Amino acid sequence: MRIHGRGALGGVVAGGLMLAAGAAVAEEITLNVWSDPVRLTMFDLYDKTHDNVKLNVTTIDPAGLVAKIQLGMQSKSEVPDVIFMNDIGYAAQLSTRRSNYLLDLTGKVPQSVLDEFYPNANSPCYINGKLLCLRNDIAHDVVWYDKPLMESLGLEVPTTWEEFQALGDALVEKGYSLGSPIVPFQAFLVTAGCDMVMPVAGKDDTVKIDLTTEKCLKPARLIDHMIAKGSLAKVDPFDPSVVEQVKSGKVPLLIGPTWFGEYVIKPTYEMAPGKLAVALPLRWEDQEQPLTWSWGGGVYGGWKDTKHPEAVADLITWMASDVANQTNAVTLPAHRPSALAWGERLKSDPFYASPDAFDVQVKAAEYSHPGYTSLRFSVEEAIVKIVSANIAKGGTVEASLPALQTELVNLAKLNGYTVE
Amino acid sequence: MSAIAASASPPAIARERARAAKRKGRRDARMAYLLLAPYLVLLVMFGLFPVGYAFGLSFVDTIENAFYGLANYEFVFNDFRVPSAVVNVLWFVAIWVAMTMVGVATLSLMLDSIGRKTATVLRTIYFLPGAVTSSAVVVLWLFMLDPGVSPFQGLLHAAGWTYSIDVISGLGLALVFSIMAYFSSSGGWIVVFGGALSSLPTEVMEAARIDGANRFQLATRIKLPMIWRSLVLMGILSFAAGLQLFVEPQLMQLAGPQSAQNDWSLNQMAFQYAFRMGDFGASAALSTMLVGSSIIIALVIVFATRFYKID
Repeated sequence: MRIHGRGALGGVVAGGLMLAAGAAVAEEITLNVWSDPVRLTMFDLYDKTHDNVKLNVTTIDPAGLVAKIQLGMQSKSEVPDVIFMNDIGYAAQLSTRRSNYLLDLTGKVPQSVLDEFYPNANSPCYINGKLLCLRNDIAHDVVWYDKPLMESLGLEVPTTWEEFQALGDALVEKGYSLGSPIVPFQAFLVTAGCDMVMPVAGKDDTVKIDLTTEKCLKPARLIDHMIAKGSLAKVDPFDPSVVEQVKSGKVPLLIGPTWFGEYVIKPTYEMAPGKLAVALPLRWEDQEQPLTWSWGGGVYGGWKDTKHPEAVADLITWMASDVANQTNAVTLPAHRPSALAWGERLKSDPFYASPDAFDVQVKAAEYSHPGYTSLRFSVEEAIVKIVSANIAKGGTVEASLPALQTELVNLAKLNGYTVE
Repeated sequence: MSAIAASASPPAIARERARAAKRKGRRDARMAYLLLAPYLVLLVMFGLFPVGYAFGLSFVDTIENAFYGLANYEFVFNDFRVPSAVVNVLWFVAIWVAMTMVGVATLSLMLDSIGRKTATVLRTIYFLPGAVTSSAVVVLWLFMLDPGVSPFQGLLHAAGWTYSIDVISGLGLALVFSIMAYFSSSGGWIVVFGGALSSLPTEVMEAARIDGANRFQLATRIKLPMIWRSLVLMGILSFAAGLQLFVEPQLMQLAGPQSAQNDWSLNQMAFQYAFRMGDFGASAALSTMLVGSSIIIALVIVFATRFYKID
């Protein structure tokens, strides 16, 4: 294909000097890419469909990505031009003074493309006002339920957290429960707008941490009540005990991210076809609309010292927003037109009890939490360290919040944030 | 000396002999160094050089490549997580070293007092977990401590534990890590002590037996005092290894997100500094302090127990 390009140019240019310049333009460039195994086929497709760019793709263990880049930059050896980050936190970790890797994509991705992403889908990529990455897939929480089971129990699918709690109380008496509160609880704790390390708009490296408000206490009490009652497990959705409960049909409804349907409920919970349905995320009674947290969703980023910033930006944009490419993606695309094409297959999938399974998921994307952003430290790890440890000893989430506040403030300061 | 003095050889021949002996000695020494060389090269490359490099790095700002004074040390001392990590690691070392010293000594002495064949079989069995990499041992233990899947389910349920977090919280992380580390490392030591015990002079054992010592007395009064130096050595090495605890807490996340421990030990903190924050200087500072305390404590033990003194 490279030969083809040169031939075409050769026909146009006459002078030797011009020919040399022409050849330089058509010169194939090589970009080093570090991908996780899942995104390999997507990068391959770009390689095949783009004549002027050759991708040198290396598969990297996603968990070791940041460490490998740190080492590469420190030893000034191979540093990739483009990376896929399967953890949104990596974007913040790779854009500090000490680990300054990410290329500023502001102005390099067309605004028209950015406008096509779901609301807040790119929140993890805006760091101090700069666009440092593009989101590949979204993973907001929705309500998953076993439609025939809920109907046979004569129960309504809840729309508010208050109803969810009442449903739990009613179910426990019948020997059922509502799964796991997605340990370490962050997804539940932020639903009422709790300021659990939220970036402050317009102020660089500034976060708000305040766990003393009712917005935090209310969801904490809900978790405590439901764990005490037994309607929620105190362990994560993959814990053998939870898996066993769902498998045996004792969990008619649970909250989980969009990828739960295809990758957890179908293969791990082994739900039979024709039962699973999706409902919009829950809201609190005093909220006008839901505010839903996410679990996962990867992002693409480039290297600030790359020799080909334009090609890097083009590759990243294509990976995240090319409809033909994203149609076959593994998880729900963050780019709206891609997502709509992607979702066609779900509409006719007999696994789902109703054809609106996909429509509800993308409708729910409108309620994504704007605070699901990239931070240099992990709030989840802090919750595990403080709250999970207390829960294991029989304590409550509510009583753990002051200690969690101290831990988060310390962590934020240690990582160079100003805390408000 | 008396042999030389008594000999009638002229001084020239004596000188010649002495020179020959010296040459042979030099040849032997050269041979010894030659055989040692591969080890010394590796020691310098992967032992001494990295330590020296880290020491230098700990005074440098790795971004500006400028002298940074004690700023990296200051950063580590000001990290609010370091004191709790120190306490964690000390608890772990205390429990694990005690467990190793008592456990390995007891098992080795017991093995030494039973039939040779049975002892060899048992020793091999003890060694097996050590042949598995420590990371795999950790994963095995995570299964064993999870009441949902453990083969000791009944026992864990009887203790009132339903989930793995109950077990871990009930036992305490320091004890859990000690158990994991004990099983991955003690087997090797039991084999080493099997060798040490079988090389003890048989006439001493015979004499003790004739004097009426039973197996227990033989083990505690005769064998134990004869191998205590090796036990101290094991203690020192275990202590140094224990301060570097990393794999066990780092792999806890495999038991589920509610079990993850990312800043439990000091080495994990050093890892986080370097590979999450990109702060190689702070990481080097913490590592230097770890090596420093290991060396100081080892020296204290060596001198306090007169470890290298020949009786």
